[in-house]
Amino acid sequence: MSRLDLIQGNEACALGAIKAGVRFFAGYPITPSSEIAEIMARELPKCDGIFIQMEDEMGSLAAAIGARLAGKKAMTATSGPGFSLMQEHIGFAVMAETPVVVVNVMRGGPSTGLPTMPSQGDIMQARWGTHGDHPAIAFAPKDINETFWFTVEAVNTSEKMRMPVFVLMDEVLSHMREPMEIPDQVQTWEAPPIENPESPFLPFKEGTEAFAPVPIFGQGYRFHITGLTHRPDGFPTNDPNEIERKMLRFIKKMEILQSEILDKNPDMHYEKVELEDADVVIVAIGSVARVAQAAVEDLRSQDIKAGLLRPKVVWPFPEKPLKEIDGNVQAVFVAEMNQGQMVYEVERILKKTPVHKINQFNGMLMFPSKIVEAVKSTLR
Amino acid sequence: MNPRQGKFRVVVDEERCKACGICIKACPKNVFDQREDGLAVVAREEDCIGCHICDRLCPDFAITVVEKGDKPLSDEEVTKLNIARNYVRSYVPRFVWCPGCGIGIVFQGIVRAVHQLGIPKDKIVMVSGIGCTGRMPGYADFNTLHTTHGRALAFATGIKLANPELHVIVVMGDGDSVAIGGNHFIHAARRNLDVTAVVINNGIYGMTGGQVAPTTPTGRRATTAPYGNPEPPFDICKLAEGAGANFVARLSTHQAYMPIFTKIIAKAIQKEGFSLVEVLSQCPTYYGRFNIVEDPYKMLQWLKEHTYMKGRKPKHEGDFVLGVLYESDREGLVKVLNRWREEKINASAK
Repeated sequence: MSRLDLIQGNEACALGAIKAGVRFFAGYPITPSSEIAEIMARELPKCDGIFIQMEDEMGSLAAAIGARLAGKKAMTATSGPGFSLMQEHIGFAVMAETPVVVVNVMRGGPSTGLPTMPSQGDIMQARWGTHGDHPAIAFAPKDINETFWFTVEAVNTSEKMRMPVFVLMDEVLSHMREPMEIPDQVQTWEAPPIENPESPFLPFKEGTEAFAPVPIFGQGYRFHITGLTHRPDGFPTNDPNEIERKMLRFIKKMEILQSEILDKNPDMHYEKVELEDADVVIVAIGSVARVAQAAVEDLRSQDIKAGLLRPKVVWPFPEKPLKEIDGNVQAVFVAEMNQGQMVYEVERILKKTPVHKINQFNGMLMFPSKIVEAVKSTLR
Repeated sequence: MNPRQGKFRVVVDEERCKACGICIKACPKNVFDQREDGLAVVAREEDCIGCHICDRLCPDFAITVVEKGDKPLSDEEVTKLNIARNYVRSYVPRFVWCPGCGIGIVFQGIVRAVHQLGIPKDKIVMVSGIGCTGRMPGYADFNTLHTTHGRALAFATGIKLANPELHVIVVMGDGDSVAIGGNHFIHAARRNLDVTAVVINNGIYGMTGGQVAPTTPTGRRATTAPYGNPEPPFDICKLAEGAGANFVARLSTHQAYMPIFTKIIAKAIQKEGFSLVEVLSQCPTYYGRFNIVEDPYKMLQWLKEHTYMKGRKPKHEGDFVLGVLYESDREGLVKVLNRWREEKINASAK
């Protein structure tokens, strides 16, 4: 029996992860994400899972990756400063092609910034935070229900793509409560088993970029994992052909993600609100998208045909719906709780439509009136 | 004539030998000659007494010494009998380490200890961080993980807790374990995490070109301590003991041919909870060249001269004590968590 509860964003995230099969959580306390660790500490031991509070965030993500390599689905959760510390191991998980979920409850930055106040300042860090070329996948829920389901999807997508996946929340979302129905079961994705492994075993052979077995230690096919650029057998290489082959796997992963998951489920990638006849379009994610939706209603009541385009998966950024409106609307407004990050993507994609920024970075969620005013003053 | 003489086959694998010269100088019976290109060649096989000093001290697993059997064996057949070589991945080229580096000697000690214990390769996970020692898992025919600088023990924490059936051996250099990884080191020891940490301490950063380490003795030179190191070094064993390790031992690479070397490593692998084996090792290329001597064999002699077994007296100030330095029987983390689950969680649910 599913049950209806009034639950907090951090709680929805933790419960979603457990339903999705996460059985290992390593974390380090940090506001405003700490409740995720607290709930994991309480719940995981009851379902044969492991919780450990590590000595820092580097260690937390390292332990989570180690646990996944030993066979348990794993997750960690943190906020801005901790996300910065985790960047090294995000890159490691990319290189090692190991599934792991990293939740980042965004708070004001830079540095220690605003521990108890929201922000969307880590959108670009989620894309480019770790060094080197790499793919990135980031879910951006806007409410409690989505936080639960996007965490489930993050776990599944991470397993399918053999790479780290982010859930980008913010302080508003993490601490507010909404009613939601928690299902008894959710659909999970289990990597196919490895049958008749070759010797030597090739953990990175062609065709294993996505929807592939996830090799784990102790199963009889011994293999090597390294953060160094490596050959299909996992052994480090300096051979330019091998290097290129490895790097192309990352591009392939994102192509598969686009064609096999996002293009087939556009509802998973983005939401369109009143876009059909829109003259102006607002682009926003997370809690700001809720504000933007109110602004759309307000503008419509004032006979301004406004619409909202909301990326649900912010990385890879939904290009298709933007290209569809390019040249067909008067203006696009990108509303963000930062000094302008997602706007760069929108500007990159739109060739014919003027793009305007609406930014608030004072630790407070913006009011719909701010968006309404910005739109009206531009149209005037 | 020694009655053992004439009973052994000795083979040097030219493909692996790096001409460090350790075997040539260490052999008590002068079995080897040095070729013009520096490689060791077996010149007087009949003089070999099977003491195994040469093969155990060979950082490149290039020497095989076996007792002669009934039928004569070719060099290839002898090499196939090398136990340590059976733990090296088939596709691995020569080790990356400099000629005469101690890391290969410790590597051999570890695989021989695993062999003595009879643990299947599938049940071992070897984890490392970054640096010269970090390259070891890539060569080992276990489940292997080469992680980031300093974080090997944190990765190992996840592995061990997720699958306690696996034996986790974490190999680290001194900079890796107690500089950048110092926090993970003390917390793994505090938790009494059931892993075996082998720290190969050569007192310097080798991979990056000879910079000062947290283990470099005061006054010793490094590229970032051109006037000598002004700081005091860490005592890694005391650090582990103070942080809560169950088993603490120090060895030196010059002991590699003695039974105690593999015996202590084997004991550490078997021990519940966190076990630390620090192995003092030679970096001829940097530490040796800057501070003592570049010759690897002379570095081994220096290690012998400046270490002493627990219970004996040091000859000089600053000499290192060797042996099992601390042991306790605290419950390991895996058992604690299982007990906790039974007593505190399942019981309260009933």
